[in-house]
Amino acid sequence: MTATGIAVIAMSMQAAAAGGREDGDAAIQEAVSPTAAALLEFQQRLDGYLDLRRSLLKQLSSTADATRLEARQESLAAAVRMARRNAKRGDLIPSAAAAAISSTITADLKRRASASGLVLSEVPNAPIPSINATYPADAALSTVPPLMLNNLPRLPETLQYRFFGRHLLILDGDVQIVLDYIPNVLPRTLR
Amino acid sequence: MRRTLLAALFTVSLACATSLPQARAPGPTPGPPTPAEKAGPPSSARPAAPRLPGPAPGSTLPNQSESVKFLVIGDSGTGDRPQYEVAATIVETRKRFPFDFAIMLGDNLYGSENAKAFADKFAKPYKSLLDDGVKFYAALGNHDEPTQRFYEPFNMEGRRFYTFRKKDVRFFALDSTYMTPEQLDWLKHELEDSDAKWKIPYFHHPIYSSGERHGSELDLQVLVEPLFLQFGVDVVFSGHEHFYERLKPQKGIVYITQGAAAKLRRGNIRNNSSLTAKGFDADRSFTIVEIVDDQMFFETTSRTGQVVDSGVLLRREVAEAAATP
Repeated sequence: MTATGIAVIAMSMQAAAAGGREDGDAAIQEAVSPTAAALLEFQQRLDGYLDLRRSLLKQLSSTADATRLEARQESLAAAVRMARRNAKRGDLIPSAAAAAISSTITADLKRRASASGLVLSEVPNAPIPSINATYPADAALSTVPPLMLNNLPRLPETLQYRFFGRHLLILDGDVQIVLDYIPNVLPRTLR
Repeated sequence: MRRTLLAALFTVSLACATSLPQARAPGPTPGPPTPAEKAGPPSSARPAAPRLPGPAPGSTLPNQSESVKFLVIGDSGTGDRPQYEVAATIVETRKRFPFDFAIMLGDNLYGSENAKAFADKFAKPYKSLLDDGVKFYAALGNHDEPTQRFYEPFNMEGRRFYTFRKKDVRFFALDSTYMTPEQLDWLKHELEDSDAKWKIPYFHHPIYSSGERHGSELDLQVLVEPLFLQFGVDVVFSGHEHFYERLKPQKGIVYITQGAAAKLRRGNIRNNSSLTAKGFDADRSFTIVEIVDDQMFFETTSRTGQVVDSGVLLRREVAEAAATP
């Protein structure tokens, strides 16, 4: 994604957080730059993760053999964990980007008012996740409301946002590994 | 008035083999179960497929040789006895109605997705169908890992969302668990480019539903319904709700929820929903479909072989043209 694209998304997020007002408020204009910078850094870290993934040379591919698919997935997961064994929260999502994402989500939920609980009814109840942990096999993957997803920074194809308890994960869906998360992004009343 | 006339023309005729109330089936006790695993004769011992004789007794499907025939199942991947029982009934049904392929509406595997799970929750229950060459085209549900797209028997070609064509019917398998702008752009492009007579999207989360557990997916409705309307979608299949529901046409499009191939949420269809044309939430079920020119015939059968809904739908463009004075 180009810097221009990130700036556009930053403005979109800012507008979303402000309730979509098109009032050209100076404060909003001033806030765009720090948000854009944070998102640019976020994008760069995501690119870094993708480069790491590609370097592992254990990519998944189609097979009719479920045993082989399982083995490849486990092998890739092990490689990712080893490569990121020192990863900690915030490594992928810079704090400023996390704040922007949280604001976007909060604003979105406010707009939905009473429907928020229904929208997030699939979110599994869960304790705070661990970096590099495997997403629990018996937990459903929460569906991020598409209109909310539309306002969040784009993730590369293999990565997905998922709510988990009150937290927002970045999950590598191909290996089901929690790469990073933003804690307590959902209000307590919804969970 | 015009909309009423459209609805009447769109739904040419509906026949129901049972006397179920509109939105909720009575009682929890179905008939005697079919065997848990009922294997047919080995393929090598099976005689060559005869010329189709036309409609089977008790069926509303024309069973024509050149039609598009397919199976619809949703929320199937439990690996438990009811899944196998439904599968056995499907196999029996296929003896009289030889559908060529199946669409899976998500939640194809519940729980772990190791090799054993693929076997117990898919390959074994549907072994007879797979051995006979039936192709399964899966969509992802909220219990499915994205890596299912790499499992070749799901025919997803490594993609979370994809399209395929069968004669004059184009199917669009979507990932409603993660509806990104990129996926929407892709869908718009594919719908616009398609010259197929029938356009049938399918995905896990229903955008119209009378389910008490989930209900209509309103975000998704806002995003995809305009595309469906603009580009001539006729029918939409979804799962997620663990029952069967055929909804009244919504702006001319028929929505069918079929999420009961293994899971069941009894009594979960809201009473007196204004959306429901026909609902069945007393037992598991599956749906078979036959498309002949501008008509789509469908039949929904319960785990025990009872036909709980059937009818024929006219292609939307044709119905609307007929309604225009």
